[in-house]
Amino acid sequence: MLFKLLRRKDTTVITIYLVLVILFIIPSLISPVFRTSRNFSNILHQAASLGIVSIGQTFIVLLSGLDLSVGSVMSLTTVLCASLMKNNPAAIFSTVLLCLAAGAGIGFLNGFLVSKVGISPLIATLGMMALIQGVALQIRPYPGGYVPRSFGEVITGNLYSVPVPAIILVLVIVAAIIILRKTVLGNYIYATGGSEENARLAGINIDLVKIFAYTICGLIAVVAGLVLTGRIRSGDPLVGTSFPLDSITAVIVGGTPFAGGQGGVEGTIAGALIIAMLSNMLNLLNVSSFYQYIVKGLILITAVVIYSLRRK
Amino acid sequence: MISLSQREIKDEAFLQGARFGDIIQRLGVYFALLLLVVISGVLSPPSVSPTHLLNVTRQASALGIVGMGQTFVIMTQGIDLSVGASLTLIEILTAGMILGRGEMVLPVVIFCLGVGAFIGLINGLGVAKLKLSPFVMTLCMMSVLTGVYLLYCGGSPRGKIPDALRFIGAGRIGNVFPAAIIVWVVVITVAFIVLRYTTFGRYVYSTGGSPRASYLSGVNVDLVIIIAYVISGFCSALAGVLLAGYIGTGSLTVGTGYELNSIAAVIMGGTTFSGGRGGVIGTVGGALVITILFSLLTMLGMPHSGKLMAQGIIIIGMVSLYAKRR
Repeated sequence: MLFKLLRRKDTTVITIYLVLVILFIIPSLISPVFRTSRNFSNILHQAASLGIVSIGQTFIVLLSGLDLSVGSVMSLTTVLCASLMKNNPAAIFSTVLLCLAAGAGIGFLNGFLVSKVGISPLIATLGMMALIQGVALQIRPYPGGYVPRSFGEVITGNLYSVPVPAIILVLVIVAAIIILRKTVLGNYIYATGGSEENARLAGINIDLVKIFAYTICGLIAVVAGLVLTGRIRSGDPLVGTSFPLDSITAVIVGGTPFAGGQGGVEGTIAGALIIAMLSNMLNLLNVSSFYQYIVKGLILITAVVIYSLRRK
Repeated sequence: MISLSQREIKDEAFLQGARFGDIIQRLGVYFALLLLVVISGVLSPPSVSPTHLLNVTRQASALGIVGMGQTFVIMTQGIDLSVGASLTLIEILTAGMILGRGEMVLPVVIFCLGVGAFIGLINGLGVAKLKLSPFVMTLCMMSVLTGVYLLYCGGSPRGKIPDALRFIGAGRIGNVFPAAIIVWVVVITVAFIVLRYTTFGRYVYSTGGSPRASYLSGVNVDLVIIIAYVISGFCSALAGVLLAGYIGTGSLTVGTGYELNSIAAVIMGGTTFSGGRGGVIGTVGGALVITILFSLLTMLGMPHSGKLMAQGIIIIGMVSLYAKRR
């Protein structure tokens, strides 16, 4: 893959991975706690749900859109799981299917509103965010409930000493890379994101492309929500609040420009890891969480400024 | 710079025949407002008493003022997500710096409005000069400002507002007319005059309609964009000062929801994201619709969840009505 990247002269992805490696090495040298395997697995657990949802978000940003409803969808997933699975392992499968269907439905609606009705993605997904947040709060006004022990244990457990969330993350990445790089849909997404007008003139059904992308994003948000449910092992109607903006940050830091059409999930995943690792590092260094807001904002702005200078 | 895309040419042609549609769009929000008031009146007669309506209008004034600034930004094809955070920052700063001293009101208010304008200036410079996407630039600003106000107050805001400022935020002139509404009306009037009758106002419309064409006609597009963000920062700061007067002390949650609600108010009012169309009068209606809607739902005893669902459906619904004209 590395050779392919070099041949494409797409140095953005390489740069972002270099930053990731540096961010990994420095705290490893400073902090003995950081370099414990326990902490690495902690970071992976933290990064998994953000990484997964950011991959869905990448599909949308590639189309020069954005999806603010992913956080509400994740919250909805946790409350649905906590309300429907309860203590009954037999209900796991049907609940997961229901959640996936709900996510796909919400994503489809987003796509429909953006493409067929013609509402700007910001407003459409903003309205959807409020709507789904309301539904989640209606189902469970306060955090609570629980999921079957086995569900939580499988999702937070290890398979051959690799954390399961990391495995799910890798599966989602691989699926996303295949869709984006090897299928017609992927080509259409890049083409539509690059120039809608040109894509339309080339005979691409851009409405359908958008609907597919938003549906995929909704589905992936549910997967992220399921991973989160496994970690908190209960339902929380507000657990997803920070994910829409964090996932957009991960996508942008990962080198997919807000204008769409270039970039991809390879960079996004590094972006998500950088965000998770930074907050882990700042926590270990006892930096007040107040500073973390500032750091997050500054990192995003730095990344965007560097990208915009490089593209000039 | 940006090349003249086919979409823009289409938009230009579209603009010619858009006058009638514009009027409908501008009036649509007032029709919705009337409908909401009638529904409130039917469901609960006391809710349409002048006292209550004045009260709701006072509640809407902070959102309305933030919306004024947001209108300028959205007209230039931008967006300002930092309004909520800068409102909270200014509210906490005002309370924390005045500390109940009456003689400090004027200097602190002037300082805080200056801070607001400065935040807008940075946003504007980022968008216009560094060519950052407005969403990303103001998102960063939101994050940074959140950190700043948390650090300033250490997580627990304090402070006391002297009576003079409390009167402007919460008082009533002659025990009837809320003073905050007057502030809002002044802002509306100034914004209306600036947008309609000044060269800068025309530049805002033309920059939003087509930055490229404006640039070629000699408009300093960057400056127009920067000033739009400065206005937005100033308006959020003004709303923050007003809310400090209303609450009487610092609050960490005062600005929550303002970024999204102000955008919703602007869009409901008929200003479009593609820029160049709309105006402040629609936004006034949008702010009133959102506030009255929430007040009505509260009166009906609807839980927070129901309010959110209604808000989502109404935003999508109203904007869909406009969008059909695409």
